Amino acid sequence: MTLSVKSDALESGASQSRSARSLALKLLWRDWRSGELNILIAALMVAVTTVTSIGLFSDRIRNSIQDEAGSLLAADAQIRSRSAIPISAELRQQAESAGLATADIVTFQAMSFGNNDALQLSAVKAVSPEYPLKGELVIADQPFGEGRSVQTGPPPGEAWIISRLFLSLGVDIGDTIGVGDANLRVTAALITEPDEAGSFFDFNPRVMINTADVEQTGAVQLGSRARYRLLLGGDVEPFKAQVEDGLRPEYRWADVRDANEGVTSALDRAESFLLLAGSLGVMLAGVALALASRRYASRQLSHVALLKTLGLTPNAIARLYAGNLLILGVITVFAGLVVGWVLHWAFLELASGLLPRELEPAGWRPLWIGLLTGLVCLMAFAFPPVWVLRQVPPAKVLRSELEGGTLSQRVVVAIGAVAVVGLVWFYSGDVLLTAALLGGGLIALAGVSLMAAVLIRVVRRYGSRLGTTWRLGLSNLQRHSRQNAFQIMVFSIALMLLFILTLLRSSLIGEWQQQLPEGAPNNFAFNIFEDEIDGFQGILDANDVQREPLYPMIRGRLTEVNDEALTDRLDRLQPSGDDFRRELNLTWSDTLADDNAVVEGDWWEPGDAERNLISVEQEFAEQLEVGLGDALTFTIGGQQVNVTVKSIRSVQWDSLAPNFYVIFSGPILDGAGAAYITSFYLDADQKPLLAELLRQHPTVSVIEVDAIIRQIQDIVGQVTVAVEFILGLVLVAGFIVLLASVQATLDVRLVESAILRTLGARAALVRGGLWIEFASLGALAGLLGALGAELALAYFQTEMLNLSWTPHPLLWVTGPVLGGVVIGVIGVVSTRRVIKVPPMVVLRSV
Amino acid sequence: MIETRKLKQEVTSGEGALVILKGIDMAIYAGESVAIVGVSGSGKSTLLGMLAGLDRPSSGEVFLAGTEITALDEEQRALLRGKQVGFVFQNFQLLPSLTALENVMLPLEVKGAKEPQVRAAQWLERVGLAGRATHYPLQLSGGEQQRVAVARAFASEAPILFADEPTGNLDSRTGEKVADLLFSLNRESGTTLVLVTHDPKLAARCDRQLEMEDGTLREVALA
Repeated sequence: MTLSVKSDALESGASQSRSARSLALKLLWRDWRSGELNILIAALMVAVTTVTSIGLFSDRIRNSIQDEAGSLLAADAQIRSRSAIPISAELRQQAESAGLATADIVTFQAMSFGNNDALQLSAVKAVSPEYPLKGELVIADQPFGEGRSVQTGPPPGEAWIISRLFLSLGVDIGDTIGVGDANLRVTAALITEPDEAGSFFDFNPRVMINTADVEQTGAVQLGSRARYRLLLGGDVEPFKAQVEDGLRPEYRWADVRDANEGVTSALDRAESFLLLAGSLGVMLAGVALALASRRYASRQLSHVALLKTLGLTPNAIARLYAGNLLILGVITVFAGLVVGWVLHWAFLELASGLLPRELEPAGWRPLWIGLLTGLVCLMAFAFPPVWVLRQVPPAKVLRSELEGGTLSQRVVVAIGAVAVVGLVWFYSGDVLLTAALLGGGLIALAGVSLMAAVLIRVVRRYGSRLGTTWRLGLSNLQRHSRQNAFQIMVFSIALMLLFILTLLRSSLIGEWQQQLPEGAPNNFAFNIFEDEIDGFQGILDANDVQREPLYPMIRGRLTEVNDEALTDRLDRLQPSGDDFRRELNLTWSDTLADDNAVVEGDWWEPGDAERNLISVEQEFAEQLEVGLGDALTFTIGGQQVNVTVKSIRSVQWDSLAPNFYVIFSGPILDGAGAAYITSFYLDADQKPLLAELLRQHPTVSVIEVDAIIRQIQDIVGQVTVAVEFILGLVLVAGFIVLLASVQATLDVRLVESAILRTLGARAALVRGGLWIEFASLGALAGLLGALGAELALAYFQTEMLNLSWTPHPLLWVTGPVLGGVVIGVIGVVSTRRVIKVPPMVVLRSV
Repeated sequence: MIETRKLKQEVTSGEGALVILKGIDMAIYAGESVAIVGVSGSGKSTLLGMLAGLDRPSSGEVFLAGTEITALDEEQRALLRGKQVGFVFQNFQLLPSLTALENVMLPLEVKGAKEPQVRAAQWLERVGLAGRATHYPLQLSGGEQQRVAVARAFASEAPILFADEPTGNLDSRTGEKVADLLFSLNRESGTTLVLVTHDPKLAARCDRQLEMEDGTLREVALA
C-alpha cells in the first residue's frame, strides 16, 4: 500500500511541477506589482549598474590614457638598445609575425652646417617612414610658426629642424644644410615630436631626417654613440610575454608604464580608488540585497506553510521560490547591465565639455564583470533566505509561533562575507587590499555592534527626561535593542563608507590638481653658462615670467658603489628601471626644493659643503641598494670623485621643475664646466619671448613641454570626472541600504504604532516618537560612521595611497547630523502609513 | 479513514520535557464528521496537525487513507496532502496577493488539475461569492474570506477535510452561516470532516465528539 502511494506520488510530482510553474509566475508577478520586491530589485540593479559602469568608465579612461601615454613613446612599446647595436632583424621579424606594426628610430650626434660657416652640434633623429606609430608629429612652414600635424617623418633627402636651429645656422626654409657628410634640404620647422619626453636632456638642437639618409651622414660608424629603437604598435602584451625574458642584455623593453611616471602613478591611484569605490558600492548593495531578501522571505513564511498544506512539496517550494528569484535576478542583472551602459554613456555626454576628446571604446570585460557580480550577489545575498523556505514547517499554519525556514544572522553574514571577499579579490587581484578590507570590515562589525548597544543604553538613560514624546521614542529604541544595534551597525557602515569615499575623493582630486597648478613650468632651459646667468634671468624677470631657481648641472658617470664596479653591481642586482651606467645629470645645492623631501638621513648642515656628501633619490637608492653612509665613486670630466651618502630623498618627478637623482653638498670640481638649468612658465601670449631669448643666448637650449603638461592635465580631468561619477553611484547604493534596512523592521514598528493609536495616542505623539527613534538611530550611526571613517582614512591615506594623514574635525559634526536627518526622514516617510491609515487596517494587513 | 496508534508528542523546553499527546489510539471512518473539543492548550491543534500530516509525532503511527504517513518523508507527505486532504483555518490563510478566485484555484493548480479556473469559479458560486471573484482578501469581510477558504478546501475534492476553529475569528451570526455552508457542502460531497473547536454548538453538529484533556482523548457520549 505504502509503495503504491509512493509511485503515485512520483507521477503526481511531475504534473505538480508543471502547473506549479504557472502559479509561481503568477505569484512573482503579484509580488512585483505590490512593490514587495522593489528594494530587492533596486539593490541588485545598483550592484550590477555600479560595477558595470565603473568598469566601462575606467576601461575607457584606461584605454584612452594608455593611448595618450602611448603617444609619449610614439608607439605602444619600444625595444631600446643600450649600446650602439642595431636592433636585430630577427626581433623585428618576430614582432611583425606577431601582428605588430614596427618603426625605427636611430639617434646620434652630428655636426650641422649652415650658411656663412655657421655650425652647431645637433641631436639627429632618423626615423623610418612608419614613424610615429602613435601620437602627433607637428611641423610648421616657418620657424616658430603655426604647427600642423603630419603622419610621417621627413622623406629621404630632407631635414626638419627645430625653430631655434634656423637662427643658429642662419638658414631658412628651402635652404640646404649639411648633416655630417650628407646634404639635406630643410623643408619644415619641427614643432613637437610625440616622444620628445624621452629626449628631455638631449642638449643639442634636434634635426630629424629619414633613416635612408643615415649612412650618407657618415656619423654612424662602429663605436660611434648611436642609439637604436624599435617601435612597436598594436597589442604588445603577448609579444612582451614572449620575448621579454629572452631579450639580449643590451636591449631594454619600454612601455607605457615607463613613459611617464607622473601619469602612471596618478593612474594607479585613480584605479585603486575606483576599485575601492566599486567594491564598497557592491558591498552596500549586497547588504541591501540581503536585508531585502530576508524581509521578503520572512513575509513568505506563512504563505509557504499554506502552500505546503495544499500539497506543495519542499522541493516544489524550493523550485518555485528559487525559480522566481532566478527569473527576477536574471532580468534585473541584464537590466542593470543596460542601465550601467546607458549611465556611463549619459555621464560621458554630460561631461563631454570637461573631457579633452572622444574616449577610446571599452572592451567586453566590464560587462562580464557586471554579469558575474550580479549573479554572485544574487546567489550569496538573495538566495540563502529564499532557499531555506523549503524547511518551513507546514504546521505553522496552525501555530504561527513555530520556527523553521529562516537562517540565523551569523550564517547570512558568513555567506555574505565570503562573497564580498571573493568579489573584491576578483576585481583587484590584490590579496593585500582584500585582506585589508576583510580585516577592516570584521573590526568595524564587532566594534560597531558593541558600541551601538552601549550607546542605546546611555541615550535611553539620559534622554528620557526630555518629555513624553522623547520617552516614547527612546523606549522604542531600547525595547528592540538587539535589532536596533544591528540596524545601527548597517547604517553606520553605510555612512562610514560614504564618508570615506567623499573625503578620499576630495583629498585625491585636491592632490592631483595641486601637482600641476596653473602656471606649472612649461619650458626647460639648459646649457646656460655662468656668464649668461644674469642676462638670461634678466630677460625672464623683466617680462614677469615665473621661473624655478637655476641649478648648476654637470654630467658624470657613477662607476663604483662601496668599491664594487657599477657594471658588476648592476649585473648582480638586475634593476628593472633605468640603466644607471649612462651619464647622469649631477647638481649641487644648499637648499632642498619644495618638491623634494628627505626620507632617510638628514639634509646638509653647515660645513657639509666641503665634505663631499651627496643626497640620492629614493628609487635610485633602492635599485642600486645604496644606503646611508655608502661610498660612491663618480667619474666627472675624467676625474674620480669620491662621495658619501648623507640622505635619501623622495622626488615628485611630475612637478616639472628640474630634479636630480644625485645632489652634491658643494660645487663639483669647484664648479668648473657646469652649465645651469631652470624651468619657467610662459603663457600663450608670452611665447614670442622664446625667440628673443634664443636670439640673445643662442647656445642656451630650450625645450617646450606644453604637450606633456596638457596630457597630464587631461588625465587628471578624466580621472576626476570618473571619481565624481562613481561616488554618485555609491551614494545611491548607500541610500538603498538605508531604505532596505528601515524597511526590514517596518512591520514591527507599524504594528506598535497602530497599537499606540488604538490606545488613543495622538498622531503627533506617534509621529514624534518615530522621528526621535529613527533620528537617534541615525545620529548614533553617524557618530560611529565618523569614527570608523576617520580610522579607515588614516589607514588608506598613509598605507595605500601614499598621502599624508589629516584629521577631519568637520566629519564629527556632519556625521551625526547627516545620519540623524537622513535616517529620520527615511524612517518617518516609510512609516507615514501608520498615521494616515486607520490602525485596524494596519493591524490586519501586517 | 484515519487511524492513530500510540501517538505521542513531547517537546523539550527549558524546564524539561512537556508531554502534549500521551499515546493516543483513535480511528475515524470515511464519511464521518468528528469534532475534537477541549480547552485552550489541551493539544487539539497539535493532534490535528499530526492527523493531517503537517507535523511528525515523537512516536506512534498515523494512517491516513490507508497510508502510514508517519513513515513518509515531508516530500511524500506533501504529495499525499495534495491528494487526500483539504483545510479550513481559523485565520483563513488566504494569500493576500491573489484574488478570491485565484485563491480557490491554488489547490487545483498545485495538483495540476485541468481547467482550474472554471472549477474554482463554480466553487465560488456555490459559496455565494461569484460576484467577488476578482476581489483581494483585504477587500473582503472576515465571513467572506472564510467562505473563500471553504470553497478552496472543497475545490481540491479531497476525501478528508480538516477544519481548525473555522468560526473562531468570526462573530456568531457570520460563524453560523459559515458552519451551515461547511456542513452542507460536506454532506453533498460525502467527505470525512475533522473539526477542532471549543464551540459546543458547532461540535454538536458533528456525528461524533472527541474531547482532548491533558494529552489524552476520550469519546464524548452523545445524548
